[in-house]
Amino acid sequence: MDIQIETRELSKWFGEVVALNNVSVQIPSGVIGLLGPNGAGKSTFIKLALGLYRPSRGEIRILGEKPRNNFHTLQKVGYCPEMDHFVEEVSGYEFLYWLARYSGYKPKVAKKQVERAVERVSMTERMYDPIATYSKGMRQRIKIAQALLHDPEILFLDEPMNGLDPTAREELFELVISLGNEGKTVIFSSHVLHEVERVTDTVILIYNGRVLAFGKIREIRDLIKNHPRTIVIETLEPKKVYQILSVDENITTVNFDTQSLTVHTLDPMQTFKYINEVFLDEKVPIYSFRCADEDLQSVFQYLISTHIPRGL
Amino acid sequence: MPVYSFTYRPFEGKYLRHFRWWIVFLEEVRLWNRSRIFQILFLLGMLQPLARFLQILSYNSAMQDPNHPLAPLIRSVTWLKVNEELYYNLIRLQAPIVLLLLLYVGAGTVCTDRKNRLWDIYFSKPIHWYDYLVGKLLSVIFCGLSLTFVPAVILMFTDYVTKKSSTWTGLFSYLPVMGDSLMFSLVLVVPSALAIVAASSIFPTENITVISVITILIANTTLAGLLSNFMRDGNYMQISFPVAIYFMGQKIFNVDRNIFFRTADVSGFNMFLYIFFVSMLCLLICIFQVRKAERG
Repeated sequence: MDIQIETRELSKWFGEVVALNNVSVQIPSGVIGLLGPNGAGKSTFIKLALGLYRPSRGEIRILGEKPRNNFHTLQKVGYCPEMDHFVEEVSGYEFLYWLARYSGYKPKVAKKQVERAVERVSMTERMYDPIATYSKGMRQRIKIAQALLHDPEILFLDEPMNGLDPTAREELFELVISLGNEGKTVIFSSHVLHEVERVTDTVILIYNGRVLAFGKIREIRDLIKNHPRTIVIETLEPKKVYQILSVDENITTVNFDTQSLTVHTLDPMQTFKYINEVFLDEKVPIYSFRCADEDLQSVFQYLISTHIPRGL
Repeated sequence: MPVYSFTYRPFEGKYLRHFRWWIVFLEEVRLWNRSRIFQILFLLGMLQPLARFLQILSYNSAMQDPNHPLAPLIRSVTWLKVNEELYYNLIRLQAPIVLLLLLYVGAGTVCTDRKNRLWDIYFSKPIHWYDYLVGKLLSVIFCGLSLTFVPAVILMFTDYVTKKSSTWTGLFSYLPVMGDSLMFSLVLVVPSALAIVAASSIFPTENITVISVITILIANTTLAGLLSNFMRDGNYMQISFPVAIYFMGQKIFNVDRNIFFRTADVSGFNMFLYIFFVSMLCLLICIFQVRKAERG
């Protein structure tokens, strides 16, 4: 496996606040989702990877080297921050031009790189307008463009979807996927789960400064087999359905609604099989049944509930 | 965002190993250079050099032409004479406008970047904290020198050109006064720039920075005035930073006509140490603040 980012017992605290706690991961190339709620430690992880923060303990290596004050590494890394970071009075083009110069490009090459990056984020038409006149989505695009300026091998996108309209979001999804296909490593941070699912099936779940899980979404799901799954059954006779299902030992809890009922089961495959068999025989009208927690949200919630004591 | 398969290409740039601060310097100069307020302040600052230019032209033409109708008048007015003191007065009288201009360009250097959270982006590029700080400081210093030393040099050249008897070796005679002008300009501009950038690195906005610097200057001078009155000793006025800078200018140009104290009575070295100490303190504040941001 081609390891791009490696951390060993990486920790960062600010005073008494532990932002990142004992994180040891090996991140390969490709698109990786960095997933966690606000304040989980995603941005801290990214800033440590960029060398913007010094680790309080442990170490982080990017392409085998420590990133802090390491220009060799920084030249291979692009960063799109979460917040707006602009000189408002200059144009998008000029802002990017100077950042390209910071990256070491001579003026002529810097201009070319800027034009290329701006074209890639579809901002060519507005690139000479002052940043102060840009919409939120345009600002986001310029931020992404500055991260792409120097053709980085590793790209850190911290909440890049913030403020983008649906079209722009779709374009950015495509861009991220294409970057992954080109062999780049893209660390895509987000607290919105379906955004991450849209670009990758490999995620790092981070919560309260700790890595809860890292791997394919399905692999993570396999780790939590014993946790009850949720199945939603749509029917006009929920009480009758309940009576029939109550004999299934795998079902732990059932919740009623007017036209549906939600069951929690320890073995969804067995329960699905049971539902099929029983209801075909009983001839109870069922419009649909589906597993309601196949998405990342539920995986995340399962992991939090198994790692974090109840009541916290 | 259309996706192009050819977009990513190998790095074509040449990595800067040295003088990375030059990019910061250029960006900063470009930023304030386009501002209308800066342009107006700069033009105001060029009024005195323009007047000095006319003074040199008229003085030289009158002195070299005995039949010039204004020659007796110009000869009789001592402050119209073109000598070393002209350059001292030029730089001394430029001080208020230089301070205004430095406040305008320097007050936002660091605090605006912090306010706009630009440090994260800058320091994610191959650039050190000291490249950043040196670039910012030099841009402010350059701005100050462009209203003090640069006009002085242009005026020296004007004086040289307008003297009919000038030979090219005569240019060397300007070296001492050029050195003095540079020294006085640096004494005036560098501590001011350091103080303003230090304030900018501490305070959150440009306005607060400007108000704070002016307040500190007034408080400092008021304290010096109170002490000198209370102790009945004009030498206490040296505590005032602007007075100290003027005093250093007098020492550099060998001029002695201070209204507060006799220049000969106080030590130039001590005064230099005082200015140096304050400048170093400001520099340390700048370094501490920027390093703190870069360190994370």
